[in-house]
Amino acid sequence: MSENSTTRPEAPAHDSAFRHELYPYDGDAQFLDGAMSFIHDAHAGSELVLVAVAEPKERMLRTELEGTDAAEGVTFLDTAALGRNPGRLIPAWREWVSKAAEGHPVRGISESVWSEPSPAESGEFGYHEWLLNLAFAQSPAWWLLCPYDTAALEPAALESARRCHPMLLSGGAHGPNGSYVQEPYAFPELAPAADHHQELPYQRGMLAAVRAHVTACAVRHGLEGTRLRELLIAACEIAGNSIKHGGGRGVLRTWVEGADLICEFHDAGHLQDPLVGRLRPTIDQVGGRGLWLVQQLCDLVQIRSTAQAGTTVRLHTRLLG
Amino acid sequence: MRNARAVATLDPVEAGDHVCWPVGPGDDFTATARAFAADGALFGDKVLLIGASESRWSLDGTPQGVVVDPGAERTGGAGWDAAALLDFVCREADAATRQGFRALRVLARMDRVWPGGASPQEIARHELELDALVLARGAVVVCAYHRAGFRPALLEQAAGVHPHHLGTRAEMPGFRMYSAGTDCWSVSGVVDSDGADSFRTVLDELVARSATVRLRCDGLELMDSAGMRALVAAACKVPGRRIVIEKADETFRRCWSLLGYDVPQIPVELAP
Repeated sequence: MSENSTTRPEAPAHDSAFRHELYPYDGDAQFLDGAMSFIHDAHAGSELVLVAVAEPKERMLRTELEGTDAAEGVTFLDTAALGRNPGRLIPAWREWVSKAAEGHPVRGISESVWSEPSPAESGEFGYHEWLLNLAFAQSPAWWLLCPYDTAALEPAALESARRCHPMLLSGGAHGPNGSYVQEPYAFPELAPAADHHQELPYQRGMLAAVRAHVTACAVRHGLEGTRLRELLIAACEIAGNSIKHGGGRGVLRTWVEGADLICEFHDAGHLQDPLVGRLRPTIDQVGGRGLWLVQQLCDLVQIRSTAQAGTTVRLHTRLLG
Repeated sequence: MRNARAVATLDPVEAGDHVCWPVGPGDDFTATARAFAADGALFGDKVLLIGASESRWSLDGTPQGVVVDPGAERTGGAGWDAAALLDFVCREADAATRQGFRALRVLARMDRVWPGGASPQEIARHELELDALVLARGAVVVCAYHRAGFRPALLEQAAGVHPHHLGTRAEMPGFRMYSAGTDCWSVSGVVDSDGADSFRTVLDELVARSATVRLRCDGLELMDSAGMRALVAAACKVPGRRIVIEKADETFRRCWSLLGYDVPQIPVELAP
């Protein structure tokens, strides 16, 4: 299935009060320098800081902060509880930024929690970074520092990050990022489906068949219990969207890629809102709950949608053990 | 305790069973109905056949049987309808008990009860009342819905409000709701976007009749966001009404919370 990227969502103009800053660093010492300097500056300005990083980095920062006054203003996001899916991060940041509306200036530090991300994970984190500009285009002023380990990351991931951060911390100085471009996000191509994938065309009245297909594949690979039930709900949501909004039918393909079970749904629909599923639904909201639930239930969600090629959604579920 | 199940034939039905039989063109209604009535004689049940007058043959060899022809009753000005069916079943169930029968055994041709068709709401309302009656009186009731007389959405609606289904398990509807006591209803199977409209119709009927509706969900396999939205909408539709969800599993609770429904403004309570 080819992905047409000619009608990607437009990038927001960067004139918002949100300061989205890239911090390329090389090694733990530089990470600590940049992050601690950012935290101390926040403390000096009575700003609160939320830190969302992987556990080893969190440990390093906690050690550095121990006994300092700055520690009081720092909160660590439980990234393990939040899960690895970057599709769940924007609501966490929105909740944090809502403190700014209550009169507390806020900052954040955010780094990918994957030590060795797969291309799919790397691509989705990059898209999340791009979406932050859109999600906070109208937000109160706040500042997010995004450290990127230049020694550990693939060059493509770093290049993607350079293009979607309007600000840059380099050589100890904060300033505009010359590499930032206001352009639609350049989605990486989806990896081809495994040769041994299994396929099921579906339409109205076939959600039970969709669940049976997913269950058969999942059980073969040891997925059961709560995690299987959550995957089945996610599968229902996506297939149900195909039937309701995607031309009444779709095609499901399943396979295992590395440690992940992949369930891919393709239909003729077009998701026009790039933030769909990324914002917590309000009580009186009519639609948009399905994709929100899917983002919360799956380990990674890849969505590619254009008017020409339709919509492809890949649900990743980590196979444990 | 009643459990939803599919039965391949009517042979194993027992007191308290309320069976939906979608009668297809390949089904031998006459032979099945005859065997059902004969079993009634065998087990000491009182048999009630609700259908056309030609169904009198079914009572051959059945010492205590009653045949009601809704068409003839209407012609006679009796105003026979679904409510009349309920009244009649109720009276005959009581009579069967007084007369020493094991149970009342009913086979109803629903296309004769509703010759002009029925709405999903009418079907849900009638079958819910009938199901509560079946459970309370320990009757056996088989509702025969001829596919020629009911479109698929109506058959799905009907099947969803019977705990038992004549056919294969694969043919069973996504969800089933059936009486589990006063103002308490069991929900089993799957509520997804395919069945959410039917589920909402059933909920609307339940909420209209009771201030508090208890839904026992230990047989619920899965409910997606469309099903949960139906729950919320039904609970909020009539001010002052409340739905209590009992025995919901961990996945239901997590999804309910993730969707933001665990707030006081929504009169749906997840019992511990």
